[in-house]
Amino acid sequence: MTNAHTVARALRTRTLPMIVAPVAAGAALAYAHGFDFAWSWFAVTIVGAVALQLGSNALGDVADARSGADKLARVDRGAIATDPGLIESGQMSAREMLSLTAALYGVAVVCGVVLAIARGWLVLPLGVAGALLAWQYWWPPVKYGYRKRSVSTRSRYGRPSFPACS
Amino acid sequence: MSVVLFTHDLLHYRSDKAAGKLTPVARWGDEFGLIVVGGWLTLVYVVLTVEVAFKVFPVWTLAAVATAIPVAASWARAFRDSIVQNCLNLLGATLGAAVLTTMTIGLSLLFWR
Repeated sequence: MTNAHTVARALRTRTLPMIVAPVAAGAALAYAHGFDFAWSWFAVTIVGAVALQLGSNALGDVADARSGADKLARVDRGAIATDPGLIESGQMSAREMLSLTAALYGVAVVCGVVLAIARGWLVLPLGVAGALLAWQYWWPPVKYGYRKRSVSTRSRYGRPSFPACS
Repeated sequence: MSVVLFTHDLLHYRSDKAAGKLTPVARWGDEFGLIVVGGWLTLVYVVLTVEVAFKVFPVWTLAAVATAIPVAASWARAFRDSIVQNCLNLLGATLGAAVLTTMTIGLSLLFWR
């Protein structure tokens, strides 16, 4: 069974300041320029942004495990792997990671819809565009963050195998 | 924060490229990647200064410019020798500067109103 510590590693919770800080700074800027500040809406915004970021972290790990990027970063002596490597080590399955992603993206969608209804529709196109860009970076059909791997690449590093993803 | 994500790709750009992952650093290589990081960081501090000049942020937000010192030192070290340890130090310095700068902006704005 996957414990809380493993989930925290899977989501890379140490990246949280990177998403909380700009949202907080944006709220402070709006407050300083005379807009009303509501803690409740600020909390909903933070929860939505964090869910989107952590979900994208989890989705990226699945895609990197499937492509072999994680494994190659671990065997390259001149590299430092920045992902937790939980799928490769068998601590989490790709299916569990994808379920986590779906749950977090679901939370983000709920927050976005609530904010759009209560505070203004502009949040919806921005949120949808962000989510699509994050998703299609790793995932078909567009998968713009990757190109097709060449035979020479596989022969150089050996073809990675990923039992957790098969 | 975008420059932090960009810098983090320096740590494994060769393996990314080998796996077919087209991060900007994997496309352009570490040297050009570091030039982009340097230009980007410079732009961040220039824009911050311009924003203060146009009264978007209060003048004491400029205290955040002090965070450029460790970042510049780490960047120079990584540019001289782009071994992964130097890139890791640059990532740490950039992340620390990003969080400190954002905190400085946020706090100065709260006391400005």
